Amino acid sequence: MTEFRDLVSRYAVQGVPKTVLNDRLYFDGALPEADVLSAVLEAGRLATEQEAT
Amino acid sequence: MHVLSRSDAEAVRTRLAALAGPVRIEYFTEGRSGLVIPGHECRSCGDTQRLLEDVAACSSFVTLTTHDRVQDPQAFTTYGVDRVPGIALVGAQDYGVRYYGMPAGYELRNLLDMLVDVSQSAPGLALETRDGLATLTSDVQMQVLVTPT
Repeated sequence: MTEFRDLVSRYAVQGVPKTVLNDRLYFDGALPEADVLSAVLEAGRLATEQEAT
Repeated sequence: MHVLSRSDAEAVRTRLAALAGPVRIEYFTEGRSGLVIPGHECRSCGDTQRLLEDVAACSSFVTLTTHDRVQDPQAFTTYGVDRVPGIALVGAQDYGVRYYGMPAGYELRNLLDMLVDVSQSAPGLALETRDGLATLTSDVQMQVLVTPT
């Protein structure tokens, strides 16, 4: 993050790690695997919805 | 000039002993021609190059290829790399694993873990996770933002 300050602004990074999914969802810190999967599936669902419209 | 100390290199060798097969580090850097775009200087590109050379020297399974933004722009397009320093980690396939920035400090350990992961044909994920991912019908890009410590 010290190298790419544009990303700090773009994603409003206040703490790391921060995970951004498809530029739409995010979560802070480390999550259990099942929760990461839920976030990925939600991002995928939103992407599919957007592609359909 | 080496970036890794002798003891660090030994630790890297030990970690890379877990590689299941050949891996490629495709490294993307600014032009070495001396041409620099003001405001877009890559301060860590040189150190990252030397670090990756040291890492590649620690295992015969690791191949490092460097791509220069000025002389080899097509490679940037091929690997979808849009900033430097950029690193693509490729195993038997290109799984879309990328690292941007210098993998300094603790981040080097993460890079080594990523190398081991791409070398394996099956990731260490739970069956439920793999089954869930198989239901995806659109691409999902995951960006993990970190700070070297």
